[in-house]
Amino acid sequence: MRPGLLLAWPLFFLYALWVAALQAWLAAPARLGAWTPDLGLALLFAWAAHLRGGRGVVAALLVALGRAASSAEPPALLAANALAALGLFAGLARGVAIERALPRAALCGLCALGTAFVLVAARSRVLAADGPSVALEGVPLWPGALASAAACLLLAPLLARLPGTAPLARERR
Amino acid sequence: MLLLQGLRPVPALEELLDTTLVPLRHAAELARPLAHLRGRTASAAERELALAAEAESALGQRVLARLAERALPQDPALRAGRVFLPAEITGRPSKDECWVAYPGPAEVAPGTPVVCGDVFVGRVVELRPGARPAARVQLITHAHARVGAEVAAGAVAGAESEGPVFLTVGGLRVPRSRAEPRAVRLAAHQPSSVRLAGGLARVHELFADADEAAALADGFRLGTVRRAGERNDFWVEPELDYLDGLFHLALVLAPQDAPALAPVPAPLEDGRWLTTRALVPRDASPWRSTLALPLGHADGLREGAAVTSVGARLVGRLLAVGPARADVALLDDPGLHLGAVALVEGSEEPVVLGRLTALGRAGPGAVRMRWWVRVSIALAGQGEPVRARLFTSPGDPGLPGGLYLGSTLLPRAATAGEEREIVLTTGFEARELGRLFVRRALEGAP
Repeated sequence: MRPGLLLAWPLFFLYALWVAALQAWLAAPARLGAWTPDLGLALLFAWAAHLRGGRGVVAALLVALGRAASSAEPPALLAANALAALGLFAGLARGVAIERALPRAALCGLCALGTAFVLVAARSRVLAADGPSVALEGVPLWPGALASAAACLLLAPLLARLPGTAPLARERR
Repeated sequence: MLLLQGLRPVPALEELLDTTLVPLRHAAELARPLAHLRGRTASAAERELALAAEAESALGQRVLARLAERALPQDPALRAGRVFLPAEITGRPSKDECWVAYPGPAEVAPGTPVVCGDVFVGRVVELRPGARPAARVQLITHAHARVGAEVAAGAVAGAESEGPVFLTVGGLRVPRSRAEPRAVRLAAHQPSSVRLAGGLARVHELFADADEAAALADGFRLGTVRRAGERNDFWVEPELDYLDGLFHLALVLAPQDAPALAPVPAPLEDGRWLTTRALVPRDASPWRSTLALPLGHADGLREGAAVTSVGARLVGRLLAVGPARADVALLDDPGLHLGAVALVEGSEEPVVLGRLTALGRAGPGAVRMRWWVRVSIALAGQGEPVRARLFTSPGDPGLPGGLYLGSTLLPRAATAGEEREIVLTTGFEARELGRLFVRRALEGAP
């Protein structure tokens, strides 16, 4: 493995951590609250078209780990969500020009909605098993999905050019 | 497979995952630069809390002391010929059992009656000796618990001159229809007269001389016997919330067993608190309200332990504890639950509320809480809700009683079985706090 690539993966993970920490900061009710974008998904989708084979899976797992460092959600569920989003991207890329800005942003919004739905459902399940029924009532998921699509549209070009990560995509170019 | 593990975790895999992700605790430190974004607000919030810390702590201790006093019987007839050993609930192995710690040494034997005030609670079924002895108590709500009872003379409809009615009480009465309120009711078995009209049931074993412990329980209250219609079963309306309203109890002993009591240190001064900080100050999921601590199992942390800030302010409880990291559910994290007592404005008498469950945030420094009323309350006065300060109740492992939660408006009357929503005003944002304290588990605790 080339030294550039050896450095690129830790840097990618560091960016995934920072992106998740920034998302956590934005998620405060006094800031964006329900309108907080899923920046991890935006990072993953910014890179999904440039990563080949197993590299996409590694990137998805690193994004999930970055999010797990800033969240109490189950890491296994976060990893499953990131891999599912990547799988959907890869599947659609065979027939649709999903790597173009608008379709990619739309898919990012859709995946953010799905991810949030699964996480809320999992939490509700835990709460239901934990005594008197308390569900996560009226959690609005669509604002986060819209914000994620917008973040992907605006930030993906920037996220795909983060310093030190170029070797991850070099072989394809 | 990952999805399944996330939705229905297999404990062994979860433990493996926790161990594998230990380096993530150190990786999270790499996101520390973002924590500086909240630097100034953190110290301002702490200064504000520090101003009220002493008064809140003193008030919490007063509430605890009053609850402990209330665990001792007040009726002179019940106090005569008995001594009472104060005991504090330290754990609940099941809904119908509890562990209590009592000041040793004392001659407690299996079968010893356990009471709360003038009310019978259950019997000791297991003892665990040690520096701080413990006893497992089978509550009267347990399916196998039975105690003889008596309803005083005049309880028989149309035959007021008849003597007392005898019956057996124990276990819970299962609701007969969905229309029935979700109130907890004790089952009443085999009354000596089916014409029983109702009345106060007190413990009375017909063969009390067969067992000294049975005689010690005689006369303690069980609740009011009721019946809906002539063909339905009897039940006993309890006077206590056996699930979330028991904190301090008293073990009933014969006078010759009276021990010399050793003082128990106050929870805030017992050396079981670790100073820490937020590793991650907020959850990336906007619907959650959690933070992470850089401590884990190795530091003696267990799930459910209290996390406080300056003074006696509860910030949250440990949600999950890994080898080197612990996630804290803040007070406004949906699903966080705790036992609470209220100190109503103008009163020195704590009101036991039972379990509160967080539904989510209600605004800056405010939390929506669900309150399932288990024992009816009726506060003095009428009309407008009354302001009350809420404190944690003792009896929950890891969460000491007397920690200040905030203030709320309580209805003056609430009936058992009702579900109410109250708004708890905490007055601070937990995620703005820099310094936190977390409670370690007691070594060798049951």
